[in-house]
Amino acid sequence: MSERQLQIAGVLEAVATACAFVAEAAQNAGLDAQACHQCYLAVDEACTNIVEHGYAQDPDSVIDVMCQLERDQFVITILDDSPAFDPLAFPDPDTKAPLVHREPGGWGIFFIKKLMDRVNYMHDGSRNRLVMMKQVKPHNHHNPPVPEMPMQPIRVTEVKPKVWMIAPSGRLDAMQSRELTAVLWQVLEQGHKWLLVDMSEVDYISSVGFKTLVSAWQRARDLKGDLMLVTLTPRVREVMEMIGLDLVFSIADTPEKALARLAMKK
Amino acid sequence: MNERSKYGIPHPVETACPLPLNSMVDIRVSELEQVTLVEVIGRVDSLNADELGTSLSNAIDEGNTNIVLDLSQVSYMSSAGLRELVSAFKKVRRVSGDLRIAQPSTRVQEVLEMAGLDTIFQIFPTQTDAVGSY
Repeated sequence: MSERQLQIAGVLEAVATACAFVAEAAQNAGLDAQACHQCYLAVDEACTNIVEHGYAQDPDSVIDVMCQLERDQFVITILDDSPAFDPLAFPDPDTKAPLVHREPGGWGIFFIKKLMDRVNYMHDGSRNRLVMMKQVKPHNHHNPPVPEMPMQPIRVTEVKPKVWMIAPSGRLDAMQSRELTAVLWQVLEQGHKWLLVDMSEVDYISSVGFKTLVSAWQRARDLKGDLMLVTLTPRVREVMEMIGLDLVFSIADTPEKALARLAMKK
Repeated sequence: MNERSKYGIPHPVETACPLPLNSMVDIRVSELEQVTLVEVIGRVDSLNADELGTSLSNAIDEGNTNIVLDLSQVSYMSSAGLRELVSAFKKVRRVSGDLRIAQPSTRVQEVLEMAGLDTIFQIFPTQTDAVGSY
């Protein structure tokens, strides 16, 4: 995996973007779903601290996030320009203390240390540099990420009058998502607004893939129709739940259930 | 003109996240006979944790001090959410009330344990158990 970089504004509204970026890179690096969630949470805590304490929500500030796979270590680097602050020197909260001695806050840095395998901090002259590492467990090497896949066909069928089923397959990465975008928008432009996306053959979805689905869903809704997702694989469902998209889309376990629900809406 | 422009198909924009994930939480407060039930649905992070804090705080201010917080449908919670839970818990205990947690999702259970809060809060496997405990 080559190095990936993202710059976000140093405001709370942007933090989730950095988290999703890192979680996706973590997934590509072969980390399992729980480890991806732990990376997501660690980045959330780190960036939230920078925004709230370092930058005081200054909208002109920026945070740089980088991800890299170094041998079996997934390395997340977070850079910011706020005043020098070593989070690792911050004392841990007492997790055994009774309620009266508990402070409500102060968990963020502690979580980062617990969630990650190694954490380093340095101030490199002008910027705070927090480096967090998560080990990719050996059993994941049997299932390495596939860098290049041939294009998978996208099946489009009218499953019921005026209801169209679109069935992508394989990895919905940036390349495949472009094809899916083209197909979805062609169907929508032909005036069809009741769409089912059969996800049973999709074993990976990137943020671009989600963007594709969300755009098409919004378009279908604008046309007073709907776009439902059908038969999610566990891996895709996990990622959707992680970023909260399971609450946006209607999701059905089977095409029959999706059709029944659409029949009620139409 | 390429195929895509010809059909007016937008190019997917390379972004790290498909949606602004701000108001991705739904908090439902209902008054039962003895108990105020607060159900949280969605994600609780630094951007929206104050919504949870405000809901709990308002309930306590209105004199509803037997609170059940159903966290079964929380897909994500960061320490910002825990901060609100502990603040509300301290507040309700000062007026001799209680805040009991029902059916925390796996993700919530993980962070509660990590912070050692699973021993501070009373946690029940179901909403019915938690409501019935008062």
